[in-house]
Amino acid sequence: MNNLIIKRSQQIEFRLTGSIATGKRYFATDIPNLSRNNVVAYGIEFFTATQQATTPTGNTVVSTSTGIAVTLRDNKKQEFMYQVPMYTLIRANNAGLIVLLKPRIINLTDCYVQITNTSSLNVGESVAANLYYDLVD
Amino acid sequence: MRILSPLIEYLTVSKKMKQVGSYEGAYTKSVYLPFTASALVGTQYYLQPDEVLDSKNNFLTTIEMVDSGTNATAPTTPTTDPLSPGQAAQGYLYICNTKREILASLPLYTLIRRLNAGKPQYLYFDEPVVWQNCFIQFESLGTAINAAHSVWLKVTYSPVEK
Repeated sequence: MNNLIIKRSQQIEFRLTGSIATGKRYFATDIPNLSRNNVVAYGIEFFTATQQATTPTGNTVVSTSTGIAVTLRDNKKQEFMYQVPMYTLIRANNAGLIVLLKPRIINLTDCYVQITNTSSLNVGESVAANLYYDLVD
Repeated sequence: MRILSPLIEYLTVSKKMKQVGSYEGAYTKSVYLPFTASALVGTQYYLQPDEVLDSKNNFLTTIEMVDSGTNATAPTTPTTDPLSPGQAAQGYLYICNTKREILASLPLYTLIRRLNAGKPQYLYFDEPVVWQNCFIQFESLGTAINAAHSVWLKVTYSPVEK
């Protein structure tokens, strides 16, 4: 059994803006130093308010993960991780193991979460995650 | 003969992945960040300078936050209470290099080993880490943290070959 080693990490978030609706997509907010197709993502970990109450940008983190699906897109717009339940990407739910990805360059602002159940989700909250990455050589 | 998938081989060789239960580091050290007053949201609490934990002498291999459920009292002078998981969920540890560039932002809660089924958080930084440039910051303080508390970090490290 293998686990991830942190080489570089940064918080990313998907802000629930506008209204909360089933099926609606909420894209990752732009982070300048991750948005130049210059990072190779090799792991990702999501959080609820249990692990992290507030994001570094000051937004309240969602309290539940069971109504959210996650999609990651690479720089070729390929949805290489499509509609994965957020619950399964939380470390504590996986006996401490962090989900590893086949390393690839991602387009952060093309990645999104989709609501499958609106219970306990509120406008203005954020779906928070830590992206584990390496810089493109 | 050992058959290894190319992906697993790549992740292992490039230090992105490591077997659970494998070598964690040659040495272990506990460091503490006691608070002299009530902690404030948005304030950067820098770790005390520690040459042992600078990359020029040793490289960090794992990090763990000892919470109040793991050890009730921290051996600081005077003694303090380690953060509870609820308090830890309000803060982050930022690992920084010589230029104070943030290499990693780690929610404190996720560094509590007992809540990760005993698995440590492995680290491998290509760039040199300066321990005194690393800091802890809280983004909310619904559960107060004051002078009776401290952040207790347990770090493992290995010597740099010179």
